[in-house]
Amino acid sequence: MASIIMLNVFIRLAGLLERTETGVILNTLAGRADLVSAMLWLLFLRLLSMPGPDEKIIKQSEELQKALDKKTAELAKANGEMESLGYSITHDLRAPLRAIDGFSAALLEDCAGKLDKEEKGNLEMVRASASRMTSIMDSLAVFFRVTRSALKKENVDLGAMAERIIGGLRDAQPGRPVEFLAEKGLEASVDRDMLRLALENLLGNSWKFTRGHAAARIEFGSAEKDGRKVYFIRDDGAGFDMNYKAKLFAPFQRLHSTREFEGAGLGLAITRRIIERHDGSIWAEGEAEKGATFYFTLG
Amino acid sequence: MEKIILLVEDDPGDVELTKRALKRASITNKVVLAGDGSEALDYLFAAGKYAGRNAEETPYVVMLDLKLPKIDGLEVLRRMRADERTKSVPVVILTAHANGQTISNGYSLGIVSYLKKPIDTEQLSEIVRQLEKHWMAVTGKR
Repeated sequence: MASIIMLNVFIRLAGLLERTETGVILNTLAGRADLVSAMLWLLFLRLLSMPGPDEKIIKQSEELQKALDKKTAELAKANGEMESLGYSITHDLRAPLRAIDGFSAALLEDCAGKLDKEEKGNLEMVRASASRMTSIMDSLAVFFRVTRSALKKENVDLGAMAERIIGGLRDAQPGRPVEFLAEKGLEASVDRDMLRLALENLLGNSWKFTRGHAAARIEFGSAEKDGRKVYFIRDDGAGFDMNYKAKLFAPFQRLHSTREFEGAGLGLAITRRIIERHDGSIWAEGEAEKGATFYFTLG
Repeated sequence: MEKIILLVEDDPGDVELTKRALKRASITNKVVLAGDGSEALDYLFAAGKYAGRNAEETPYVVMLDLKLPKIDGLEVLRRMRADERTKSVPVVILTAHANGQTISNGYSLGIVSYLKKPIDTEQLSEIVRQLEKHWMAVTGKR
């Protein structure tokens, strides 16, 4: 059909352009109608079998969508598993722990007269271990919560928040002479509860690790670095050995023994998770016995 | 009428520790134990293994754990509040984890208070005071 139409076009054109070079060419072509027909058909069939550029893209995009759907399903499953794990940690494990602590306390009460100092001490150790485990589980529950809950951002005066946190620490230990300096105007758009937790961790650490020093100084400020605002919390306390820098924010990795400084080892891991959820990053510099500075950015 | 405490709790350790706390707080009421939500409802509505019971004799207080097998604590509470016979029975929720939403759900279904596990004698003494006030207000006696 197409070739017949093409032929007609050629013949008419040939008529119109008789005296031109093109007219001569078209006349020749018209004369070789059979050959031209065959060539046109071949061309037509070739074009039919080739996938056009649009079809290639559509196929690729379909394959990508399939792969994406599969990954999304896997992620949803992993999240579901983490949710039940988190629930197990915060609920199911607490009941047996309560029993361990509760019945040890019952033994201590009921058998007070029959136990010697060492035996009482052993029961106290059981209670202390149960208590420590509860404390770790509380931290893990917070870690899960911070990873999963939705961010509610609002304008927060971080300096004022830090002042309140230090105020709380002072109330708990009125004797300690700690100097605290917070820069004015440290406002940021953040999830209030999460940032409070992050600052409690960082300031709480500074408070804890300066207790060996007679007079302590803690600062909360900001600086410009590569065009970004960097917040920092600095103290002149026990510091840390920079050789172990990589372990600082890892869960359960501690750089001091429990004898020296108590703690579950999750505070900084939780803090890092909070900062990362705000699209920021956190890092630290320190020197043993000379203090530490924790830097963080917020988005 | 006997002032019965209906303790709805599935964990045997928690049952023992709660009974111990009651004893140390000098609370000598008879304790009826239900191991799950379904058994609690059977007791309250004189059904199942409690079919012979007089349903008019409602407990003095229901100490209700929230996480229960078969029927959970909040559902038990809802059914209690939906029935004329058990609508005004005082309920104290027992919880290991003071979750804000659960607590407010409880209060909106009219609980007296909630107790955080492990229960100690101080918490119990406070509950006893609140219960006595409640019963004075409801009946003028008891």
